[in-house]
Amino acid sequence: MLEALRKALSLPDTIPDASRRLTIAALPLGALGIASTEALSRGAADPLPAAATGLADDFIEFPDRREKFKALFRLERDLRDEGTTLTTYQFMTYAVVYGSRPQPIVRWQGMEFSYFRRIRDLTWRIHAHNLSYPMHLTTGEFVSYAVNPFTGATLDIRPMKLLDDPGVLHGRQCYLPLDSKTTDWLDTFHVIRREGDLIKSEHIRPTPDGWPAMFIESSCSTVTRRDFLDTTITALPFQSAGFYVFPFPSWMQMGERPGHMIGSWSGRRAVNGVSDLPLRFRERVQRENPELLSPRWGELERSLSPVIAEALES
Amino acid sequence: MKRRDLFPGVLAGMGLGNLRTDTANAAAAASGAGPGVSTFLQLDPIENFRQAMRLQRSLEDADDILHWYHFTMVAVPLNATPKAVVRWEGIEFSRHQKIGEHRYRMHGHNLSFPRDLKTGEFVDRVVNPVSGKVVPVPPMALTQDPGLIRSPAGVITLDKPALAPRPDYKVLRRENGFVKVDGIRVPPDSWPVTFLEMGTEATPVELFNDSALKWLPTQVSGAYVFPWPAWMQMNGAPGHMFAAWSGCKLRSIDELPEQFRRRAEREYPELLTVDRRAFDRPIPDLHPG
Repeated sequence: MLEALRKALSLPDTIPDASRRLTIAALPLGALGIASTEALSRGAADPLPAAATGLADDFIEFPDRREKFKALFRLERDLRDEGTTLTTYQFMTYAVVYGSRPQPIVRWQGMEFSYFRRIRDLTWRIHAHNLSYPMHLTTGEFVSYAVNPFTGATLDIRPMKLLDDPGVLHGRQCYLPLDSKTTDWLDTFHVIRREGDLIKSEHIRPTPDGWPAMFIESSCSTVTRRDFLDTTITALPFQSAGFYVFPFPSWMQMGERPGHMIGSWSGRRAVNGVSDLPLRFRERVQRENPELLSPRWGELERSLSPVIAEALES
Repeated sequence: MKRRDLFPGVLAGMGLGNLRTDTANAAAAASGAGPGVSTFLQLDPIENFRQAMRLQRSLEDADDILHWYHFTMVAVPLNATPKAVVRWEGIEFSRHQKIGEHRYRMHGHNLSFPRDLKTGEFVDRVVNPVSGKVVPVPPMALTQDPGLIRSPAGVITLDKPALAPRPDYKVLRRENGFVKVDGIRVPPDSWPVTFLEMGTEATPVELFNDSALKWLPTQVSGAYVFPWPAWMQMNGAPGHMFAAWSGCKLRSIDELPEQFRRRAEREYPELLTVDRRAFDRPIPDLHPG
């Protein structure tokens, strides 16, 4: 099975540039030198045959880091030289105070908008911003306050705008934040596995230097087997669920209490871009921060630090 | 329709399978594809309870519910970087019985086997990334859950049956092709305070809308917070564990992945069977709520 998988998933290292975007989907099947689900239906060996009994449950192996990285980037971003990925989600935040029962605090609806450009071999430069609005835990109405169940205080909760992400390089060496002071790439835990007719990508991301110590983020992105094997798709439509641990934000007013927050989200790639965002959310962004409904390509024009330039050369 | 015939429906709910690159996006835009759907289902408390029950379990008066999943455990030491420890493959096998109008009694157990973080192979020891020590990791068989009563009024855990029901968080919402229930588990009153379990189960809209279906296939994801397990050998250090899972609801053990099933049959055959004798035990002083 491994050999068939290698064949099926061996994407070309040279990926058509952005100026040829529109031609990619129109290319005859196999023009990229890749197997496809249609090819499989014509009798090619199925790289992911059904299990003899029970649900298929395999960890998918790749011949090397390059192939594994390409599979990941296709799932989380887009293999074209330049692209954007928009994710829409809801998440709930919980407070974990040592010695007390953890409690839910507030629900959020948000988006992550990332924009990226291939700058070398299999390395992309990625910038992104996030915007989320607080919602009532049970009714789902937008709110601007919640009660802290540990202190009883009524909290003033503002929309969460994350606009200061320094950007990151992502490639087969893994991650290098653009504000890194060293040339050390950060590794991750990443597994792609099959679950019946679904493919799941489980990814635990590193904590960059300078971030709060109590931070970790994990996600599981799910795509169909059919899409996964159709290598004419450079950006896979995924459903995603994930979790992150982070320190108490200032709006929680937790003082010196030991503990942290947990966020748990469930969402999807907005395949059709901004028009695919939930209407009420999109209308609010258009009203309050319309500039955040577009990629901030200017971020990619900032020059790279000497450390990052050195890392790229190494 | 047989329940197992519903599985392809989970794929239908992905709903995006044929969309590709910008050509498809442009086509969708040209055809007037609308915004994504994201709404909260407005249901009265009883209907909310019934539909959550249908998604997470089934509306049969008596049924066995099997969830299968992979999950990864992370150590969260106080004021230090959390670190991944080990992954697992496991099941939660539970059963319920209706004991009154919109009132169910439930019992269940869990069984999980540890796997290597990177290779996915079964393992019996891992490196504790906080202490640096190699620690043995035994399979996890959780058979001590006291059971519970669930109704629209909330949850009564059977370690303290005389207590009034505690509110149950179940929010149903629609996200494009899926109906999702976000839930927070009410733990037994006697469990350690450092415990939280939350999750989301999703089923395709078209199956959810077929009211003849009492059991729905779901994709499940979730996470839980819990105290250091003994095998981590943390010796009272402040902090806790965190785990995140992803899996699905299966109809029966016949649908379990072969490798997991073979090992479970060999080592814990009793945990692949349904023991309904728990329902014969009376519950003295059960709160009427």
